[in-house]
Amino acid sequence: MIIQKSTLKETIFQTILKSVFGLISIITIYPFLNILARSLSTGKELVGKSVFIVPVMATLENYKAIFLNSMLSNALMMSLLRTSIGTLCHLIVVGFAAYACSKRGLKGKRLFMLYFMIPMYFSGGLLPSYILINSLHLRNNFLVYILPGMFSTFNFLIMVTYFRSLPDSFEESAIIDGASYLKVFFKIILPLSAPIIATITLFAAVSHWNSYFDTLIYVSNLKLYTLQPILYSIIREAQASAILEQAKYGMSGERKTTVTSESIRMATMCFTIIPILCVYPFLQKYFIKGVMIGGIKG
Amino acid sequence: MIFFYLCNENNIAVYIKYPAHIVAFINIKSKEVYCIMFQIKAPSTLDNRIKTRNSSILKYIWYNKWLYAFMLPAVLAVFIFSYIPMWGIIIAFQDFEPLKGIFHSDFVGLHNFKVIFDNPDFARNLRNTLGISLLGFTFGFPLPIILAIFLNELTSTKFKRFFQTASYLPHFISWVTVAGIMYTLMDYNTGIINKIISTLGIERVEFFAEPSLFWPLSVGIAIWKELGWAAIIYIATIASIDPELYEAAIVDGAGRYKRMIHITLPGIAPIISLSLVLTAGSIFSGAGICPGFDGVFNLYNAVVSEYAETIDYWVYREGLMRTNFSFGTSVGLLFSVINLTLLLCANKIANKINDSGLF
Repeated sequence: MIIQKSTLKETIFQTILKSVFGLISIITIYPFLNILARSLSTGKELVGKSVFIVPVMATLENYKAIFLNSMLSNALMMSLLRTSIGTLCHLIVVGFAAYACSKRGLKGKRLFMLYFMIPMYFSGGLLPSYILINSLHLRNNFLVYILPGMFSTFNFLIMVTYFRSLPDSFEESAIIDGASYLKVFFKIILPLSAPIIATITLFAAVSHWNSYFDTLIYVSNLKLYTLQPILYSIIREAQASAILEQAKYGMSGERKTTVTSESIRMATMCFTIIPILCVYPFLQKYFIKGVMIGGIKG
Repeated sequence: MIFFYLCNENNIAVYIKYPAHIVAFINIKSKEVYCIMFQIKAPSTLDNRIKTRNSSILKYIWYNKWLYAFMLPAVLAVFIFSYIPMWGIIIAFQDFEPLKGIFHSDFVGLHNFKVIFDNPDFARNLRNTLGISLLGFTFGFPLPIILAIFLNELTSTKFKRFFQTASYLPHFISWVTVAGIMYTLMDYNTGIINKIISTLGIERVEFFAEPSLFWPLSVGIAIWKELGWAAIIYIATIASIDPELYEAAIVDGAGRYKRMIHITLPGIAPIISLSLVLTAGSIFSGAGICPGFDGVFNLYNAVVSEYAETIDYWVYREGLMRTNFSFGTSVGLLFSVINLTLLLCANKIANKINDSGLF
C-alpha cells in the first residue's frame, strides 16, 4: 500500500476520481433500478408515464401475474431445471477431465490437451451444428439444453491450472495407502476445490440461465421454452396482447385490469436479473482469479 | 539413524540419515575420515505410479484407469459437438439439400464462394461488420485499460471494490434483457433518456429506428455491458505489479503520470499485446468490445437493416432461416479461415516484436 502525502492536490485528485467512477457506477446500475421501479408499478398507471426511480403506485401484482400465468411460470421452472441440471453435468464433465489433465506425467496428456484446445480456434459453425442436432433427434428435446454445453475449454483450462496448483503431498499419502484415483478425487481433491467449483458453477450457471438462442432455433414446443426466449418473444414480437390475454386467464376479480403487457415485461426482466444479482457479488474474489488464469492461458 | 558397514578390514562406512544424508569412510588404522554430504530427491510416489516404464501400453492404461476414465465423457462430448460439425464444412462445397443429406448432395466445388461475392448484400454486410468492429475496437480497446490504470490510482479499497461489483453486473445479464432495458430507457414517449433530452429543449429521438445511429448505439450498449468485465484482467495484472517499483519511483521524484507511463503501462504491456493478437483474430466477428451476434440479433429490426446486418447475422438469416445451408456454411467457413489466418499472422508478429504471442 503506497502511502501518499495528503496534500490538497492529492485530495482533489481523489475526489475527481471518485466522482468519475461514481458516475460510471451510476450509469451502470441505474437502468436496472428503472426497470425494477417499473416492474413494481401498477400497469395501468404506467401507460404513457415516465418513471425515474420511484414506482408509480407500488404493487406486487406484476410478479403475482407471472406465477399465475401458466406460460411464464412454466418457463421459469424450465429455466431452473436447465440451470441446475446443466451446471451439474458441466461441472462433472469438465472437472473430471481437468483433474486427469492436471497430472504431470500422464502419458498422452499433451495429445488430450491439444484435442481440447483446437475447437477453441476452429469450429464448424452454426449450420453444421444445426444439422448435427437435427440428426441426433435433439430438437424439441430437453437434452438439447444439457448435452451440447457439457464442455467448455475456457472453464477446463481454469480448472486444470487450479488442480495443478494443489500440492502433490495431499494425494501421495492416500495413494501410498492404496487408494485409487477415484477415491482420491472425491475424498481429497474435491473438498479442497471449493473456490474453483464456486467459480465454474457461477460461469456455467449464468451461461445456462442466459441462454436463449439455442432454444429459439432448436425448440418449437412452447412447453420447453426457458425464461429468456419467452422474454425475447415478449420484447420483440409484440405478443403483448396474447400475453395479456393469458395473464387475465387464471386471475380473478379486479386484478384483471391493472396489469399491462409492459408491466409484465418489466417483471419478467427483473426475474431474469435478480437470481444473478443475489449470487455474483459473493463469488467475486473467486472468479477474478479464474478470469486472470484463463485469460493468460489464452 | 546411523548405519555401519564394514567395507574391508581397515575401513568402515558410516551412513547417517538424519538430520542430513552423510556418508563417512573411516580408516580404522590411520583414523582418517572422509565425509560426503548429499541430498536425496525422493521420487514422488505419484510420478512412480504414473511413469512406470516397463509396462505395456495396455497395462499402463489399466494401472491409471481412473484417470483415463475421467477424460472419457469430455472426450466424447467434444468429439460429438465440436469435431463432428467440423466435417459439416463439406457442405460449403456442395449444393446441399436436406432431403439428400450430406453424402448424396451434389458437389459443386468453389461455386458457393463465387455466389457469396456476387451477392449484392455482401459488400454492405461486410462494411457493417467492419464498421462496427472498428468502432468497437477504437473505443472498446483503450477504455478498459484507461479505466484499470486510473482505478489503480484510487486509494480507497472499499470504493474500488464497490465500483468493481457495480461495473460488471451488466456482463452477467443476457443480451435479451439488456435489449429490453435499453428499449425501455430509450422509448420515444416514456423513456427516461428522451425525457431528459426534451427537457433540455432538443428534439426527441426514436433511437432504434434511426439507421445511422445503429453503429454507435449498439457499440455504446456493448461497452456499457462489457466495460467492467473487460477491465478485470487489466486490474488484476496491475495489482500484481511490485509495489516497490512505485515506491522507488516516488523516492526518485516521479510524478503520478510519469509513474503511470513508466511502471503501470509496461507492467500490463504483455497482456495488452495478447489482447491485440486475439483482436486481430476476430476483426470480422467483432473486435474490441462489440455487440457480436447476440447484440445485433436483439437490437435488429427491419428499419435499420441497411446498417445493422453483419456477416454473422447474415449467416443466420440467409443460411438458417431461409435454409440455404450451403450458402451459410460457405460464408461461415470463409470468415473462419480469414480470422484464423489473421490470428496466426498477428501472433507471429507479436512473437517477433517482444516474444509475447499467444502460442
